[in-house]
Amino acid sequence: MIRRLGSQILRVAIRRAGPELRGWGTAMLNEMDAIENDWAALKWAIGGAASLFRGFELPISDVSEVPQRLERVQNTIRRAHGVGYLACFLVMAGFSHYLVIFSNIGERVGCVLTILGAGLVAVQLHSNNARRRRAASHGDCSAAIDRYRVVLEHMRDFHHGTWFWSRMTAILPGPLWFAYAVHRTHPEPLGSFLVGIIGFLVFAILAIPLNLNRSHKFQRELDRLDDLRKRL
Amino acid sequence: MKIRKSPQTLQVLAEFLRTPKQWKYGYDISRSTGLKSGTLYPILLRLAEATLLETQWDTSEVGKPPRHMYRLTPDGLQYARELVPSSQLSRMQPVFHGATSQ
Repeated sequence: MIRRLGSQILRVAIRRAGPELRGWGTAMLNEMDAIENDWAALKWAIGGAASLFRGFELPISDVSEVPQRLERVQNTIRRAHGVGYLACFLVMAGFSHYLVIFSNIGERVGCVLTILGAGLVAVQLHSNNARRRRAASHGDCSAAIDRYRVVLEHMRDFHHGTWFWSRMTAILPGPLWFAYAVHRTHPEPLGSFLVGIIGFLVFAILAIPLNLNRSHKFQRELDRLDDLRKRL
Repeated sequence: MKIRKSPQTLQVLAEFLRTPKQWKYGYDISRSTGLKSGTLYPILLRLAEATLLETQWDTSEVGKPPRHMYRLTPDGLQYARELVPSSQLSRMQPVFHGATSQ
């Protein structure tokens, strides 16, 4: 069961990988038969899948890689921010619609809180983008290595500390309040209410390690970049 | 020849240098070096791209999927000997994670 889960994860990653990496993905997959311990096989598969999703990227080891990495990270951020803007827009549009159709004050407060939370996330995305662009075009940061450093610093900060926790604080109360108010106004089986709430909370709790992990990842890249600079 | 000289790459090269003529499987290298699949395979790919490593599918085991095998090319062998300090070779001890290869 555990082993099968691992091979399924790896198979998905192989299907999604570029053609140049599929053979390497298959090589990792076929090695799983040689691993006797199921948990070790799962770890092997998850590590391999994560690496395939990242396009087999290795930590930076030479400053000549900086321009290419800068471009790649900028593209990734642009894509992620695009998805973020879209999600915020959909949440705001959906809850604006609820705001019109629900007449109960509790539900409406929940809608307003959710819209405000999504709005704050959109504002954060916008100001993070602006901050990054301003710093990147500053005279002191003309070299790619400096620009890369600025981008990494901003992304590290975006995923932890004040930026992250203010985002979480803004996002959480609205949907919870809304769900509670809807449940009070239109009593439904407790089960579906709890499933919704627990699902949302699990999603919110998962966001914490994922964001902190991303922040650490940017910090590690910064540390490696600083090491390389010292050696120059 | 442009290849990352990270400590992990040196570990992999050192592992190949221990028995240079022998074909090795990915999981065995992972156990010997302690590197996880997500770190090891990108390194193997880079080495193969730089023609420092030759690869081959082992189809000898009937009823089992073919396994990918790796061995240093003559260029790779020379490169590894230049790069890997002899102290690292003698220091290298196999690392086991409690799982065994069949």
